[in-house]
Amino acid sequence: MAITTKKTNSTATRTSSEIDLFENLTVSRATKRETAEVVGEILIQEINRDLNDQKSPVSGTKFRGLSKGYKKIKTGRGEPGVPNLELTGSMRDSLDVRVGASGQLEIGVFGPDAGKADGHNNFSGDSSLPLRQFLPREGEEFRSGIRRKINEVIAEAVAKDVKLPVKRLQEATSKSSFFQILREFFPGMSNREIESSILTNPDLVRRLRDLGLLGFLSGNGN
Amino acid sequence: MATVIKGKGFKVTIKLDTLKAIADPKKIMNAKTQKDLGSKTLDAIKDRVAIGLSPVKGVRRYMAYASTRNGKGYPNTPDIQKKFPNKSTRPVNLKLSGEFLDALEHKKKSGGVEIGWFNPTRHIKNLIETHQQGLHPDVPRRQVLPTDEGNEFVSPIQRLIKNIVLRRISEIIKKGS
Repeated sequence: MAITTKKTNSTATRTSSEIDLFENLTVSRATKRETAEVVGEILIQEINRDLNDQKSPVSGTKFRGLSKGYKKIKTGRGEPGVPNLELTGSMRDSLDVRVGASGQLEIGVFGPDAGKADGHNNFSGDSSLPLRQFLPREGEEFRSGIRRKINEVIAEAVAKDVKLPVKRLQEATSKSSFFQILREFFPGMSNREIESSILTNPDLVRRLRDLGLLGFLSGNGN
Repeated sequence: MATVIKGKGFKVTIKLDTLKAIADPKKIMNAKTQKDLGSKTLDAIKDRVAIGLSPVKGVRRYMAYASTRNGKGYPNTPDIQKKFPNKSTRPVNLKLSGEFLDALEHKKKSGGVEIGWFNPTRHIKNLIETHQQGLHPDVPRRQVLPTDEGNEFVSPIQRLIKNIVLRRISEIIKKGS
């Protein structure tokens, strides 16, 4: 399932990416907000994990090493001479998420360190620093491992609110037709994601049991 | 259904509150579920701390060590660097020898699990008072567990806990079919 960045922002106090998590998905406003909050915290975690490993959470590739001069500055201050995008740490401390009333997600660096973030991501086009991107540009996504974690959360959100029509489900005669039907309500998701998310909604499991369709679930879903 | 997480002292307790489930709480909170809750929550806590992030909602990144904040001090002191030459200023992961986080455990409790430091040694108690409780005047508080009134785990950990219970309920429904 594609989760692409719709818009980026680059101002003196805001370097950020706005991401639509729920394109073409039927999810209530309350569930969208709750889900966006979880996804936001996961993104903060994974971006920090990747920056600790000196790699881009967008491309997945390692950052270019520091220049000799800057490395000397960092090590002279007792900091590791590696491209982890922190000297004092204030920029990475300012990495934050904002969730709108309808579950719109914005992730970025807000406040006085926004300029430093643009220095690395170059949303403005004005940065002369080596690109060390940690926020996706318009049309881009986070790397696949991060997307997988986000997709699981979104699939659970769909499973929470989905209304599966009995008549439509009763048309399922095989595992493949069962999942074909489910994919109408879980667009863009894999069978594994769908099954795993269904298991987080006992009411849905009960409904499928009552319709005699539980046999089409593989049983693990993890 | 609500999973209640209450913190006190050196521990947090995770248990089910009111249930709208088809089985009684004891059936849901069986030994395997308790083990999963304990071990997976503990893994998620340690994973987050290793990155330099607090598992407590609202805290996010741990404050930098003294060396970064003040230009000198921990961990760039001669004694620390001699004994632990790989200890870096970043990430702030509360790990030197590893004993503080290794001492964090989970235990089954009626209707749930407890996660915390059980019977800590004097040394570990000092570290708990420093990091978890923020009682050292020169060291910023760096909370690992949500033990204060009103504290919560960050939402991904809350989700993990909730899903373990929901999957167990789904398993019961499936087995009953």
